[in-house]
Amino acid sequence: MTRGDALVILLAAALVGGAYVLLWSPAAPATQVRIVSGEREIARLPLDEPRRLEVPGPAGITVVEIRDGAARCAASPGSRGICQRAGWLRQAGDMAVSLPNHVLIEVLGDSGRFDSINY
Amino acid sequence: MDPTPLTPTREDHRIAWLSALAIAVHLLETALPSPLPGVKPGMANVITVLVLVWLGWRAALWVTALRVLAGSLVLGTFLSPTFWLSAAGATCGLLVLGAAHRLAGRFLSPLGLSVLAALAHMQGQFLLAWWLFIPHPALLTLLPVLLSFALAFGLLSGTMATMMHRRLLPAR
Repeated sequence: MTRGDALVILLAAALVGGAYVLLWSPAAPATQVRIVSGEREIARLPLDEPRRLEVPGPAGITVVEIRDGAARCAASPGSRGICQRAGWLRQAGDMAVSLPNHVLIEVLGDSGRFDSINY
Repeated sequence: MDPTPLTPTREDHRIAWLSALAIAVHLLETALPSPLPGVKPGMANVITVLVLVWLGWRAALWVTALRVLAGSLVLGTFLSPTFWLSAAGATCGLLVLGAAHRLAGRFLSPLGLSVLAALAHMQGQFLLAWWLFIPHPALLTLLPVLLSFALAFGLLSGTMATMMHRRLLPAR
């Protein structure tokens, strides 16, 4: 190994480490929650006031719970519990979706983590 | 009127042999299972780096281009996404190798060159994947992991290249 090699390896390790720091740093904490039912945004609430909200949809009622700076889908009519399993939403951009009930719960920070999401 | 005969030069023969070797390594490696898409040991890089050191950048370009082309033809991935990713990685790797060899060739052994080539290869392939196939910000989360693999495999292939360089130097 020459000195040049050592320098290259050091720089490469710094690059890899830098990539972790830059791309894996936690996202901004969420400050508010946005609830969309069907095509309409029905509520935009701050996360620092605890409350429970019942959102009606075509399949039944989705219960949204807000507590301790986070929001979650506490109950939803979907048979597979996908909405509930998203858990507490804390980081800006986190979301829980109930497809059968056409409900989307998304927490937002001061600036969005993504411009948009495509699948 | 006789057509001008094409007589292969000594260098043509060398490039053909080395390309065949690189293609064989490339094919053998494809058979290995990979933990993540885009992660491959990249042992064909050993040959690219050694050709660069022994015969220069032009020969390395030939050997790599032939490997990517013939390798994809044999595997049936020619012009598929796999092929473009491979080509993008190889192009980036070669550009960085060329620059490093020209600017700092005296200070670098095959080890340093391999590490540079591995990281450049991963970057090239990642940028193409991001730009063309999956333009999703979440893909960036994968980049540090991919770069870690690139660094580890660059060190491995660089060590192999250095050992081969030492052993084959007197015979060359």
